[in-house]
Amino acid sequence: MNVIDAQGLHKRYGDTHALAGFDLQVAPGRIVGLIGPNGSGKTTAIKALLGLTLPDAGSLSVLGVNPQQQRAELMARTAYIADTGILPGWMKVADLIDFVAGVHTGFDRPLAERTLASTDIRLNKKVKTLSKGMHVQLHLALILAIHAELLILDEPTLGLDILYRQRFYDALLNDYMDGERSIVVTTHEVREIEHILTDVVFIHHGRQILSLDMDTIGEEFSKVLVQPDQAESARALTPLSERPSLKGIEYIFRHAALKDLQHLGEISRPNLAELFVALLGDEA
Amino acid sequence: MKTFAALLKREWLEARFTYLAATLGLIALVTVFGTLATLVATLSDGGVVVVIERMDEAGNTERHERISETMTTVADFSSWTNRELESRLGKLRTIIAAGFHSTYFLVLVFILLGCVFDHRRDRSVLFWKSMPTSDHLTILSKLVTPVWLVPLLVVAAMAVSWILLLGLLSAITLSSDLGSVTRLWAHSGIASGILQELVGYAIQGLWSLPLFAWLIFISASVSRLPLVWAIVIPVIPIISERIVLGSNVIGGFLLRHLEFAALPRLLPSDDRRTMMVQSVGDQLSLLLTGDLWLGVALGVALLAGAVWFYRRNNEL
Repeated sequence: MNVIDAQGLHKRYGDTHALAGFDLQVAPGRIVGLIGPNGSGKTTAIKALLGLTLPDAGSLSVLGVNPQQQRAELMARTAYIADTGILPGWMKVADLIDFVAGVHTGFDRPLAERTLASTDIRLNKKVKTLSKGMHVQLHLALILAIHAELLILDEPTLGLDILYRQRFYDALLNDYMDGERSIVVTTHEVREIEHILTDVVFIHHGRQILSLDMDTIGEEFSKVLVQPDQAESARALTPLSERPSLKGIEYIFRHAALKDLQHLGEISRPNLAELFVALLGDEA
Repeated sequence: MKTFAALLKREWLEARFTYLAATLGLIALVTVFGTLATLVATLSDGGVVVVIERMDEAGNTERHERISETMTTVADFSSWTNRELESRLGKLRTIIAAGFHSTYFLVLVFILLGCVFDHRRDRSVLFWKSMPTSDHLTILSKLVTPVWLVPLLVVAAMAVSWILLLGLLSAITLSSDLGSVTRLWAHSGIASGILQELVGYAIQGLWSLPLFAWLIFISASVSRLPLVWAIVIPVIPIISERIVLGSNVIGGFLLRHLEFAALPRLLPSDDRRTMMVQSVGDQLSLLLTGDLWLGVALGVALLAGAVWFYRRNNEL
């Protein structure tokens, strides 16, 4: 059974169609990157998955429950980090730990305290006195100490320096993933998470425009570096995108036969950022 | 139960400095004025009147005069019957309690108005909702902590103030050799006063539920200016009723519940010119009135509305 099964989700805010028939399926043990430009519906989709917003139409099941009707049950098995600091600033770190321990049966308090002991965060400090990096560290220490089956991250490293972003994702892979748990992550820094993803979903105008296992990207998409004298031949194969580079012109093809591309130039697998730009064109 | 206890604790922690500052401030105020009055009394031969004038700044003129009589003679109580002594000390307790009631009420209004709104404004609502707590329990905790748990602190602070003032009266009595300090304390009525206050706050929570629930409802639903909405929305049906029907059923209902919320244990008498202290029996008898249960039903409906909005509204 899928951890997440969303079909045809619609959500309107006034004239804005934030979700316009959004689909998402996530199997257990997968790390799914939900990628889309600003305003594409990522955050609305995440909120719908967590029961924080009520879709106007469509069906949705997360860990076998309806998020809108059984949010408390869902959150007992799910952890979530939002795009900006959402921890209560007035609370002391120790009080925050007490609270999570009080409401979450799956919270491993010793683990959270061990994690925090390795940082500069002190238990008697108020959250609002912590730096942005510490704020995320604290939230991560709390979340990683929750034995959740599903972790949902909405731009979790926004505003952090590159060193800390790397540590964040390393901790996610080393300390959190055990083959059973699943992660859905949205981010603008596609290159930083590409190596940890097992699947990618592109969302645009509230709809899923691509859903792929990362291992099959190379089978479905090809990038070819073509010299200008071969450009017309490449265009004849209707590429998804054409982009000049220092070494020639880069074309990205979908479902193109290898034998048709080989004579055009050097073939490689496009990375997610290139694929994103190719699929969304000027709108990306 | 463990979850609800954690939620109640969170509500306490969030506003504890406000609660503590208000109650400790009032204890300090009572003590300082009481001490000043004692000093003045010592220096000016019968100047205990000063105590009354100070205290009476928060009250009305009529009460001022009566209380003045009480206080100018309170130290010379050797000729009073026990009943008179208890009655006069009871009035003194009532004045101090009124200060605590009104301060607590003001604090309560702002705490309830901000209880959800503030979390939506600082976006921490997303964190709270990421925890496995039901929306019903969350909203209930926002009512129970300030309305039924914090009064335990308020009553404790009142008791401390009463005891401090009795100590000052004892000092006056001893220095003037006007009566038995033991008798003064034996008829101070502090124990029954504490019971009266505890019962009063428990009943007040039910009697004023429509008001408290209304404030939480506004906090969960509006996206700006909660205080303005909380006042403006009820005024519209009140004025409409007066203009269209010429009656004041809605306004009267709201006023009755509002008065008791602001000054529990002190209900206006029939002529509305004096305040009557409600005995424990009077307070408990409110449980038998339809008015109370009509208000409870309205309060529960408003709380259900607050839950509905809390589920749908996130950050501002």
